[in-house]
Amino acid sequence: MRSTILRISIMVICVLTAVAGVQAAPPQREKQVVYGITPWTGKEYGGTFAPKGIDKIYLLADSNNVINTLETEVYFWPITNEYMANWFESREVVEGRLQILQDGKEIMVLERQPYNHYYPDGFYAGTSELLIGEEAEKKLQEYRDAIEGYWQAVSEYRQAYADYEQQMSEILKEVTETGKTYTEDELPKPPEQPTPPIWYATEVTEGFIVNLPVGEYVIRTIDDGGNVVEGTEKKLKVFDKRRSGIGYQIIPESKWTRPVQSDDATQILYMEGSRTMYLKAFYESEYNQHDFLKMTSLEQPLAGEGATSAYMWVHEKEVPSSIKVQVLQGGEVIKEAEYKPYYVKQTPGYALGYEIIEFDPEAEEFAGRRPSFEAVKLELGPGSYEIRAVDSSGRVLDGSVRSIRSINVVPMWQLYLLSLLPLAAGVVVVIRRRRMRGQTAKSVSA
Amino acid sequence: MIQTEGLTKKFGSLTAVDNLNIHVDRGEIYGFLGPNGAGKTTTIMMLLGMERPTAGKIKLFGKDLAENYFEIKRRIGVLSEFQYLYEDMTAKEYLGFFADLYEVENPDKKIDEVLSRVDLLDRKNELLGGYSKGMKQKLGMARVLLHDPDLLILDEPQSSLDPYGIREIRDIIMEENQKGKTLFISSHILSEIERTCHRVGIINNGKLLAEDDLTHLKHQVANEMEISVELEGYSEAIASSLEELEFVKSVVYEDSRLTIKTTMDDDYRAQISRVIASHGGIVLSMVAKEISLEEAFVIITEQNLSLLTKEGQAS
Amino acid sequence: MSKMQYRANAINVIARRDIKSTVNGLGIYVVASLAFLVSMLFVRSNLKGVTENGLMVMVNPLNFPFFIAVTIGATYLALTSTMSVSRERDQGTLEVLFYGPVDSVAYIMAKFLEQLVTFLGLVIVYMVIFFVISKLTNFGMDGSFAAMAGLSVLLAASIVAFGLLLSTLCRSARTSVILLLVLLVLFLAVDIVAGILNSMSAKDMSVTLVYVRVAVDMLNRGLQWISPFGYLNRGMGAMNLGSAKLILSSIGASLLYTIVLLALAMRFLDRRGVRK
Repeated sequence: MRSTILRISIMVICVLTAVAGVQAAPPQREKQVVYGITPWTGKEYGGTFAPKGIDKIYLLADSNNVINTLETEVYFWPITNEYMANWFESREVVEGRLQILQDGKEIMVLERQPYNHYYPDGFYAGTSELLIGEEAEKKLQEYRDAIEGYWQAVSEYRQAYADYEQQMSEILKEVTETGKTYTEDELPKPPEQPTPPIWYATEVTEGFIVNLPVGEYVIRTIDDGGNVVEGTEKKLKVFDKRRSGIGYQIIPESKWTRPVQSDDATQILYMEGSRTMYLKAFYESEYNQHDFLKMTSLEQPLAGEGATSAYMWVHEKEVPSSIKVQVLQGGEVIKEAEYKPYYVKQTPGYALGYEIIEFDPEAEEFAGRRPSFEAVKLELGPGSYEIRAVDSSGRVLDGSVRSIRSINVVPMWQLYLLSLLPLAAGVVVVIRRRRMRGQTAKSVSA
Repeated sequence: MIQTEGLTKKFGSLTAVDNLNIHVDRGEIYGFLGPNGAGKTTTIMMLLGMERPTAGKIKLFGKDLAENYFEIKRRIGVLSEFQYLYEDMTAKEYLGFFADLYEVENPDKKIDEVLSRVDLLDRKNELLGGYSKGMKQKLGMARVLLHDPDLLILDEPQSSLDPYGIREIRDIIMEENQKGKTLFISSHILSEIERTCHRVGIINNGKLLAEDDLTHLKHQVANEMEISVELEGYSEAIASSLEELEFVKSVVYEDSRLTIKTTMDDDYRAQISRVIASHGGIVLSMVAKEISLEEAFVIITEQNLSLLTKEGQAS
Repeated sequence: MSKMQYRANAINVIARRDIKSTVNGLGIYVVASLAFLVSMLFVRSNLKGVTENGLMVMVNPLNFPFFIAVTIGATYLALTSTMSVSRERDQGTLEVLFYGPVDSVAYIMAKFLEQLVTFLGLVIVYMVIFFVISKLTNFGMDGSFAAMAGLSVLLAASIVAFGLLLSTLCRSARTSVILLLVLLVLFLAVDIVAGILNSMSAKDMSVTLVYVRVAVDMLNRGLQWISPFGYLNRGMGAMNLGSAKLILSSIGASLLYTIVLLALAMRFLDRRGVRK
């Protein structure tokens, strides 16, 4: 009840502020104790925070999430309807432990633990892993060593390159002065440039690592004396996915910029006539839309509002490109296709258009280019099909079966005519009944 | 057959039926009389379980209706004042529907039989929408008879009927009674009640004022009997001798006819004959003129005259 | 014979008479055709979508048109049952029935079963015609269609029970029919609007629209327990999830809802009485 009133109040404030022409006054900044939250979203680690006005935090069940009690400057930014924190100028750790209660009883008290994020594919690509304790320290040290090694290698490379340039300069001088000739093999080789480590590990910091089963909890920060730090008591909802499966992104050859998505087996792909399409498969999970959006964007009071009955699929990660997609007709596998890189080539000339061609990294025409996308290409004629994803051992991936059907374009009058069949039957029944009545009446009067 | 104890129905502040105690015996024809709004229909509805009594008990066939609802309902035939029919059905279909409802054996035969009793057999395939009021009333009677009920509850069974129809229904009532059936009739046609009923109950303002056989009831209501004597050889002595008799209230001679008013406590015709003869008069005819049911009804209801004891029994 | 046997006979006889009357009338046929015509508009829209886009992902494109058809059918039956109770009372034929071995339980159950059996017939006709449409268009009819057909019987049961309850609550046939129509349209409208608003991303919505979404969502969540469509939604959701527990619980909830409404209808009929 309280949270409903709170939500409504927030929304009323939002509406009023939006209506009132917010550009006039600068947002009011206020020092607040907040929870900085790094939730595991099933796909990656997100980042949000719970300011004073938000009384409930959302986290995924049975996963490591980071919560930190911090003091910072908070203001509400009405243009985007979200709370903002001034982390750069004001970020102080609020000392204490995190007490977790369920049904009014304490179930655990967490101490801050060192942690960091490890990005195996680099900061800007792929997802991160949360490393805790010694593992975090170790990974950070590895990263530092790797960076140091890299800089060492760079330094060595620079020296080697300088030596190489020196040698080349001497050879050039000698050639110029003496006319001596050198074969290619006799020339010194330039040193190989070292590559920086792609992976990345963040600095180790401290936070409360929260990993809980599904349930409703209350969290609060308590100081050394066991007293609750003011403004730190909040509700915590830990939720789980409703189901998981394999989702497909389907890129039609005719409109490659407008892919369609099929998230579960009920979502059938319909096509007209023969079609070529490119499929990308994802591991996915379905979550309650309200809870998921609250979890990822807690600082936005409107996120997820009104979506408590809705569910959303979240594509978590692409399935390994070693999978194949099988096409079945009448229960028989008629085709099997695998992941390949493709390149969208613009058609030159006045006729604007494009063609999607297989990307060959060795081919000269693709030199210096990258594939537009990697997907499984399917060319299907009219008919009804089923597709499914199989792994390298031939096992069908759960939830990967989809139907593909080509429609028959039927003249609408046929369908409308069909609709009138019951009426025709009714007219026959009524006429028959009237005739029967007429006959019995006549026979009686006769 | 029907017994009520302290039956009461209140609609808000209005008491439609007030502490009603009626008793109908097996095999009798009971007339249930009362002016409009007296509580007759409400009583019938309570008897049928279609109105919940505010207080009191009802026993039909000696059993509680609520506990033996279906069993009792199958033994009752009810005819209401107005006939509500499915007008899209023929008489045959209509009675067929009720025959199924009462699980009548050989329904087609039974339908023809009851239609023939109400003289509608040749109209059985006509839609009921085309039936006249009288035909509908007769069809309603056919429906009542269809499952051969032990108790017939008839509310104005002869309304909307022409004299032939009235006679047909009267005959049916008498035939059914001869078969040992019990009939509970509510009617405004008091002459018919007088002809057919063994006992009557009179209700007014929700209260049962009288419940008795017709003769006793009339005797209770009227305080004098009028005896008209046609005679030869009248003399003043005859009149004065008659006036001296204790039970004689008045004597008037006019047009060779002596009109004597007596008390209602006995039949005094023999004593009057003897007095006339002793003075040389010759009695040509003697008629004792009784009060009619209609007159008794008017007297009872107008004066709200209760002929019952405090316990609700006939005194 | 036991009380139950007597009652069963009364239910059987009244229901049979009413079914015959419905089948012999033109109304049900007109409504069936009308329902098909309306549902064909959705089939047409789906066909157009695929032809215009070349490829289109749809969730059982015949399910929604079928849902529309069954909703129209069930609503018609609820209306006729509502009207027939009120009309029978107004015409006095209800009173005549109750002179005999008929009580409120038998009468309400007969009305309910009559509509349910009629609806079953209607669903069979619907399924045959939709099967033909499926063959003509190649729009798929999978297990969910059969499940929907099965669940639609529960939907019809709850709508009819809802209609019967209103008919016993209201004084006149007109009031009960208007009330039934208004409530069903409201339930359906809130359900559809909530679905549309939920499918929109909050990022694309104005603050006011988010506020509207919250209000509609709250209203819808409440109505999901009152509206017969709420029980269908739960059933369909459970079918999609393939959870036997959820399917059984949604069927159980739907049956319970219907039973409660019927029991209330019987009680109100007893209280209100059967006389004109």
